[in-house]
Amino acid sequence: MRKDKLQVSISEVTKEKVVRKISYKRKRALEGGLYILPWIFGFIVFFLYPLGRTIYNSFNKVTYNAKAGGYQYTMIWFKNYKRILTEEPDLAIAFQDFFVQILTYVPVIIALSIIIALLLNNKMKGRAIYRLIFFLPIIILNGQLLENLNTYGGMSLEVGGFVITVIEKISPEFLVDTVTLLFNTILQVLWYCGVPILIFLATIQKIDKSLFEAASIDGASSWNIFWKITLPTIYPLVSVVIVYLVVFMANIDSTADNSINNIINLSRYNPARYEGYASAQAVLFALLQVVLIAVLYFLTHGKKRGGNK
Amino acid sequence: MEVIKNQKISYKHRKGFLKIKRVLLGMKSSEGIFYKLMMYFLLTVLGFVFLYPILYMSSTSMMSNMDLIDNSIKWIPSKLNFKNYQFAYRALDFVKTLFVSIGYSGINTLALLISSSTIAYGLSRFKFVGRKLVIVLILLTFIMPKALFFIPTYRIMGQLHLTGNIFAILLPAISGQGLQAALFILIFFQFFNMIPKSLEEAAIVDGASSFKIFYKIAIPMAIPAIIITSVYAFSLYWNETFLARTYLEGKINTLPMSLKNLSSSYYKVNPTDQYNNVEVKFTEAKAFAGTILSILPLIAMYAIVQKWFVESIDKTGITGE
Repeated sequence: MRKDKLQVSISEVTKEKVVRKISYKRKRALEGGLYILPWIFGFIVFFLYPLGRTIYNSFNKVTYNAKAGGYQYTMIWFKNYKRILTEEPDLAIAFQDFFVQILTYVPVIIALSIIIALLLNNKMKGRAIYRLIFFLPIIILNGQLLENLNTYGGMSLEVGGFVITVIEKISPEFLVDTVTLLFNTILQVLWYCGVPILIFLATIQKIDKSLFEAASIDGASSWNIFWKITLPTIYPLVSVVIVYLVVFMANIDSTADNSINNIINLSRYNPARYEGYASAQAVLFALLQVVLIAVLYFLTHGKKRGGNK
Repeated sequence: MEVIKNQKISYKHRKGFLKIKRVLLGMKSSEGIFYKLMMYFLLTVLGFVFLYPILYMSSTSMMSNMDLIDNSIKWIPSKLNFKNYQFAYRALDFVKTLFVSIGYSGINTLALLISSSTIAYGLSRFKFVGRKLVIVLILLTFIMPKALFFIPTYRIMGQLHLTGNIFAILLPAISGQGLQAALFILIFFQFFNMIPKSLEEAAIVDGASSFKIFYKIAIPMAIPAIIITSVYAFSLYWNETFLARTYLEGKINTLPMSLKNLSSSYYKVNPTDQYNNVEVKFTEAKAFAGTILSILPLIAMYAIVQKWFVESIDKTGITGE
């Protein structure tokens, strides 16, 4: 009898424990939700709603009519897109520039920032000063600064006449153009390197030092160590850097470097275009960017698996 | 005999050569002079190229307008001349704009810091339905260009009577949709993931609430992340002008925004009766003086915090995926 009672009470206790555990779990989940709450609000108000609105507007023709009280929307489906893609070429040209800029800048930026990160990783005098210099663009880079430099000079290295004559003497003409182009854009490319250098440097520093020691005891040259240890470690970060760079270059404020945002902003006030047309432009821009990121990401991500065989 | 002698000489030669090679190129364990020189050379050249635009700007900003047209003057102005800075200082309304910029960037940075740390804490330390989905959506907000949102968002702000008001920028910042907020959330997320579970459980057993754990355990452990976020977010808010100009409608002007209008505001402030005076004319020297003035506070901040900034970078897991 007593034993029975005891058993019952034990089972009750465990039951209660289970219940309490569930309620504890639920409480934790609710608590976690509380921390996310601001984000959910922000996501709906500043992401989801504007996104839906932009997509909806892109199918509309917007006209301004003061008598009828402001802007008026009429559904025209894909006519805005048709206009952008087939009739008015300004955005298509800006897209082309953006596309070419990404494809040419990104590999150069990645190569340069890996090199600089490797150099900065060395133990040497004045490391702090060098780091100060190379991280500076992260802090001061802004659209207006770039624009002033582009309009008033200072963003292109002046190649001395002598260098050009030498190059002209020894090489065909197209190479001269390439070299001058390189000197014209190298500064900008370097200034975009700030964050990639930072990412690569942090990764290199995380590699276990004993790995290098073991390799050099086994007789690996520093050249081999670079290709067999350092590079495979930083390679996965290349795709991360690519995503960062595409987003960064898409959002930069300077019209000289990326005219797309400016075109969209101007369309908004242009009576022949207005909001609907501008929204369609924005949607196309987002699509281009997503496709670019996806393609570049999977291209570089897939290679990693091949290389690790 | 002859052969042996020859071999001896070549051996001697070889030994000497090896020694030179070791000093210059280094052995596997230590680096040679050649390698070191090459490294310094490369770093210095690259560093110079990095600084070139700033050097160019500072030298041009000290030139008088006569110097600018003078072909014989390229780098060094004929005499040190801070007149351009005076002009730009007045045109930017420097002191007022500086305080506005610091206040504007500071408050937004604070909001971003609070929101991204709490959101990251919620994502990292709690299990609930849709947690993975939230992380994916946060990444999505990072990828989408701002051009996609600013038109309807501007409308929303208008309906809430927030345009031309700092809340137009502050509200997205506090709700995790600030500038590059996704990046900051992920940095904090990684830091909070590193907190050992046992530590948290011990605190719970001792009766600490989750919020107490957040600010007593999690926040102190994430100090490197806080430093990086503050410095980077501050400079982001300082430098961002596209959204700020749209939402604030010119009611709040930070230094980079005033810089954009420098050429027009210039003549309003500086002596208009001297229109024909060559030295007063708005030229690149004036524009660069203004540009330098607008980045100077950031450089000063960077110089002060750089030690902690660089240290924190070493400690941060920025690099994880």
